[in-house]
Amino acid sequence: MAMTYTSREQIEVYRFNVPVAIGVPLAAIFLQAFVPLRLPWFSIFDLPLLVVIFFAMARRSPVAGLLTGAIIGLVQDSLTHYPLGVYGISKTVVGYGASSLGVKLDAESVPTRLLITTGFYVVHQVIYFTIARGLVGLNLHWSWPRELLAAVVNAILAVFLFALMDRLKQRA
Amino acid sequence: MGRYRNVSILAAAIFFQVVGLAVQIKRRTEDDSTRLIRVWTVNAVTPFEKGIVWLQSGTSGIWHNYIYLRGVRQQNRDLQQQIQQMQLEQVRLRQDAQQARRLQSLLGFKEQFINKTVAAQVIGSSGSEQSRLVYIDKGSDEGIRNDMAVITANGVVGKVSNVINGSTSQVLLINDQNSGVGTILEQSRLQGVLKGKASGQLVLDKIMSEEEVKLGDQVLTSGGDQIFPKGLPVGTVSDVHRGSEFLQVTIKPAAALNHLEEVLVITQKLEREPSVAGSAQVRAADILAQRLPSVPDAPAGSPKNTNEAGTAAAGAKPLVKPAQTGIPASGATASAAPAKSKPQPESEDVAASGLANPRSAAPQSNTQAPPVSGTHLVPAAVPIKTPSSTQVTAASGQPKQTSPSKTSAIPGQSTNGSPAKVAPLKPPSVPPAKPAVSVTPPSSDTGEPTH
Repeated sequence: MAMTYTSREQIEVYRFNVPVAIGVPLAAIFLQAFVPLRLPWFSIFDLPLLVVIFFAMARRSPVAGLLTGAIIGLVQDSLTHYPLGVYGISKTVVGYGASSLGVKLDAESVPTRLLITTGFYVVHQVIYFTIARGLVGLNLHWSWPRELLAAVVNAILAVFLFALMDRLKQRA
Repeated sequence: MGRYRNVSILAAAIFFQVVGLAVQIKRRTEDDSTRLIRVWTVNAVTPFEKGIVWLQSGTSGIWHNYIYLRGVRQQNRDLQQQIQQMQLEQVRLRQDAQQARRLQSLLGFKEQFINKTVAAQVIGSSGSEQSRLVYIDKGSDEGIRNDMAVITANGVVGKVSNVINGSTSQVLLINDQNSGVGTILEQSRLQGVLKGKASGQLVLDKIMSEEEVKLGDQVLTSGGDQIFPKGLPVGTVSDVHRGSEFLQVTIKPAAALNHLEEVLVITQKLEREPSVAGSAQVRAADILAQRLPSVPDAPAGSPKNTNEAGTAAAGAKPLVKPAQTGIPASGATASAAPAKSKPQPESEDVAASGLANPRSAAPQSNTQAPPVSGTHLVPAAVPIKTPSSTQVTAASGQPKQTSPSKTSAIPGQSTNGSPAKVAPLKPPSVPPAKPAVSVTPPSSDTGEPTH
């Protein structure tokens, strides 16, 4: 297990230039909206969530992480016909959690990324379902096997995606 | 305080979003306008989607229309053959449709027509499994408005839930939880509301558990929701579960909701009574004569054949209104009558009633002529018994008196299978009726008509 605690001195904080900070989330949202039309199975992925986790862990700033999550979530909400904020709240919490955890863990290793993404996917879904059922009144059914499978699938994708996006990072 | 700064900001961010959510949920019923953030997001995302769709369709168009044309010649031949067959079928269906419209007109039914549609390309989706909607590349510029029906050639897709701008609209699919379509089962004629489930399945609601629903039964729109015109295919029954009070009927959608590419938005519907040219003056015999095979001209010296028998029929008012008899429109389909018949003054009642069935009309001449040969039409006008011992044929709406001993259960046939004899139409004091209609089927050997 390569998950290691890092001291404050060892923490690498990254930043992203503006086109990347705007373009990558937009591309993720675009792909999430477009690809399932051609490949229905693609809807099992949550690309915006993976982007939130990546940015939050790289920036290692809880405020930046939660704001990134909130903005991406709200944009994702506006493509649905449900009230704005369902994805927004879920991703705000995930952004905050990922950046907080990124401060303490070595977020560069593959096993850490696998575990973190799996965990945060489940957290995201739990929050989403709670809000959707409790506040919005949607009649959703929770299925552990499905959610766990989706979490693992997203985590595997995250490993490759994060490796690609690592190239866009700049040291702060 | 600095220690809790991050947590405080998190709490504030969540708090504002929860408040925002609550405000939206409250307002939803009062204000249905599009929020600015939605417009901005859709405007930011859809150009890319449109661009990709344009590139994709352009590339595939060049490939399919100019490069990859293998087998097109053979396909063209096959299609032309298919067209010819379909044209023949169309003629038959047109006649059926015309007759159905006449009958609906007689019964005062109103019809809905799809008057105008706009073809649109699906350019995006919500990206969420819980929100089943798609975006199309047509908006207010093309006359798209909220609540317009969206269909494909295969069946119903959904309705326009939001017109985002001049060139983009949001379509709520029928398998979304928030959608509902008024439907009717084709065979059992049971009506219910079609709804989507969280899993994306379609279920038919509000059908009592004692009703019988068959697997494979077609589900059509009932028109009751005022969005979808009546009779559009929605899907087929794929599963039936009997609940305590209602049936749980699962429907397989007719349209491929997961692979939508092009759709049609119904931008204009017409509701009117079926208009058939001259339907008000149409005569029962004329309707029926159209459906008969042509009969060879009578030899010289024989009485001139005309359609005047029907004139009298048209003049006669139906004693029993069709609507009161409960005759289903579909039951009053094709019935054959001679194209050329011998006019007789006494034939009024026959023309009005017996003509609806050529097999009952033919023996009226007392010649025991065989049934009209060569016709492919099956008489389907079912006589309805009325309390006053009269029978009404659905095709004519005219009552007729019958002799119970000579009328079989099968319309137009006597109990021994031969053409039914129609009882005298006048009281016994009236001189015996002359043959009302002289059917002259062509002789199979000589082609000479027999009398």
